Amino acid sequence: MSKKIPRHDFEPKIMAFVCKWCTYSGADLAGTSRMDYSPNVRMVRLPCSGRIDPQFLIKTFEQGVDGVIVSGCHPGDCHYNEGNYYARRRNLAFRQLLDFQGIDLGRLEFSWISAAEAIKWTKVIDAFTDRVRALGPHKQYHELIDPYDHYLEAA
Amino acid sequence: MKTATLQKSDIGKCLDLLIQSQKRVIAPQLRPRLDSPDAIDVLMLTPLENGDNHQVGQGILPLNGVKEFLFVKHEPILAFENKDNKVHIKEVHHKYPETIIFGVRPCDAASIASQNAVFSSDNAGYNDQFFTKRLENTTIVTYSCTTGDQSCFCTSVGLEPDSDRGSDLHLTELPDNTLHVEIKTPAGERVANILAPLLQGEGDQAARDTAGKEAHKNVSRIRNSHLIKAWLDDQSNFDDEMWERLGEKCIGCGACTFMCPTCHCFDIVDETRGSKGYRIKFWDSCQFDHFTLHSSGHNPRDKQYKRYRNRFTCKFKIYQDKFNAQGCVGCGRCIRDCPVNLDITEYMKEVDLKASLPNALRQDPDFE
Amino acid sequence: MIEAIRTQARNLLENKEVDVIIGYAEGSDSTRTTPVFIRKPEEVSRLIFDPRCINSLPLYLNKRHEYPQKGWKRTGIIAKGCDIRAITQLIAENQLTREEVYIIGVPCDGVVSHFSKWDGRLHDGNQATKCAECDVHTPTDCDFFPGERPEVDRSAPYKVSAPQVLNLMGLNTDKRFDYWRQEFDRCFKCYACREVCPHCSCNICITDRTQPNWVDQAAHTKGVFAWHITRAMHLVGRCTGCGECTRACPMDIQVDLFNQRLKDVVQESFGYKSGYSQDEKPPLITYKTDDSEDFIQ
Repeated sequence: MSKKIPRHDFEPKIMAFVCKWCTYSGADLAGTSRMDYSPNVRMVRLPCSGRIDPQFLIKTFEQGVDGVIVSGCHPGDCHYNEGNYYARRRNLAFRQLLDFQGIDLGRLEFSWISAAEAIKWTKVIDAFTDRVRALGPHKQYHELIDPYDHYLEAA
Repeated sequence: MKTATLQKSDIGKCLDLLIQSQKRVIAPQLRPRLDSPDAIDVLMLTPLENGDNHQVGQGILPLNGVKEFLFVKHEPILAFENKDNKVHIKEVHHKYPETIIFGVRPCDAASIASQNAVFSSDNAGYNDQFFTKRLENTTIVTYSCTTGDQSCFCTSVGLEPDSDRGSDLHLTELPDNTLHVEIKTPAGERVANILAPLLQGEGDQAARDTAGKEAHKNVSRIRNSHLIKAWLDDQSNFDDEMWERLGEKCIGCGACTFMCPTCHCFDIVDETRGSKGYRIKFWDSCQFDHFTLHSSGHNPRDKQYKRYRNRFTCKFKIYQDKFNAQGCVGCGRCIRDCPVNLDITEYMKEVDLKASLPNALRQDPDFE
Repeated sequence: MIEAIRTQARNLLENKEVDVIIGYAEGSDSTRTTPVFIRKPEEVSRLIFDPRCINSLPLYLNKRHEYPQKGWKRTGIIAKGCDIRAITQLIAENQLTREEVYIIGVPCDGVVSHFSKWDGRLHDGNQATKCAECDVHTPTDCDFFPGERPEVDRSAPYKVSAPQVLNLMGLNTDKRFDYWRQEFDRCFKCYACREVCPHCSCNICITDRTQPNWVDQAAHTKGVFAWHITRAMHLVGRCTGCGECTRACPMDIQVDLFNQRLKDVVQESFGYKSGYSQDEKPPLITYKTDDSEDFIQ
């Protein structure tokens, strides 16, 4: 029936940017089928994976999120025909850019998940959550996101 | 005014004494070279851990000036939080460590008075407490120049390579590798007391004056600048053809304004995360294309040459009118750092030429 | 060589074939040159060319910088090989048409890496590293070339970029982050790197947009990282490697290392080198159905 999802001392915050035609529907199917998976993920639904601007991903890390996943339709299945092809190229470059800057690529995940692949959604989310949990909180950015907090302490 | 002599080779020990007296000591150091064949040796004013490896008295100028330690690059001025449907304003607590900046060149030291004129209540009428408290706790130990490079022009704006303006403790290098020490203010005296074990006897005023005269000869880009203000005061020169001709190549990068020791423009922005946030003050530049953009869409300084005209006018007229202070100290950073080699002394020379012409010639359209 | 260029420049201006010629002239001291806008035929004697001519002049063809708004129908420009690459890229991106520009190519053995290193001649000790890797010492696509144009062989394999990039890739991820954190401590977001880039062409840069505020304005580390990641991302497949951004940086930060790394990625993954074709579309506005996706689940 339902599986127990163990909770740990540290639970990572995961953001998912998904396309509404495939991955969002796939996740929805997981929900209606009453599948259990790690609840750490928060989703942002966009019309197409090609709409996802790297700015969103940067901003997400700046808000203190520990892991980000970007997901869309399989190549050839895009509702708008080509959006995911552009996304594929853009994400390839962006991923290398973040790696060069020194952000652990374990915190970034890309996937193609179709509207029928509810099981794949749960597997990908579980695996990613476990991976990010093992990496720990995103300390490098956590130290940066509130640059002026120490000014609140009286001298 | 008390004077003394210091051995140039004892500067490292001086820095050690000051660090041991629990003060933050900032002095020029060589920035670690990038592993690139293109890299050049760059001096920067940085906080020291010990007196080894200092570069006091070396090179022409450090990359950064004293500006970033007084009028800092970015700082919060207040904090706020939205709680229980009300906005709560909270004070921010800055630290004002006792600081000694050792080895400041005379041009940088003279710029402090210009910054102070803007940020203290003396002239502008508003006291920026963050700046003034920081300045109160800072002692400036100046180190005279013996020479300049091809971009220096302090002698064209009423300064000298051995000027002591803005100095608390003034050091002049003499040919025999000693330093002539002059105590200028009570803060300088406090520093001199810490350095007492290394100070020897009386200074040699005659040698110091000679060294100053020699240095003056080495800063050779003289331009007459005393006619510039009057020419700028004449509003009919606002539309002179020279502005567009000389300013055509400017790309509006803003590097000059960020590196300039007297430039002080800043912007204020609120940054929030969730229901909490800060109001932040940070460096801005009049060379940015949206600097004078009105919310109506109108931009009085819509072309780049107009923005550079403003910069020049600000330094050579507005500073005097509004702040009763010196707008340009001739450090030459704007010339060195400009990617297209825009040269402010070229403007000075052009204005000086026009200002010294009789009226009739000046209006001759064929006059070159 | 320069005499041939001056003569051609004079002819172009006298025959009104171009409205202005952008070139190099003597600068504020003997180690520097400066961009110059020549409008009158008698002024062509100001034009010079030697290894001090570091500037990338195609910057002035970028419409964001208002110069073309002066009603220039055709602009003459003195261009080294790397500058012609920048012009070619502008044409490929429809920022410029080939007819709007008259290219006076110059053969270039390299430029000095910094004006303070100029001692009268170019040698290994002062040549910019980008020049050692350059394959356009002799420009090909130009309207005028002084003298005989030699045969050019472009068949050499692609050389991966600077040792600094490889060194950084050799560090582990955390050390790389620390390196950049330290380097960007000096950055105060003057945007000189943006202004000097021939390709930055947005009328209003995303950093100047405040509603919504995508990139933080203040120069704390978070805001500085956001800016440099944005700049690097917006130049993917477009940067032609002129190195002007690093040269313009007043705080001596090697901002172009990001661009160099991404240049390698673009070459490896998309087989694209920017600035060599006026017709080939830049990689991020096109795709192949069999593009690499080994990083996608």
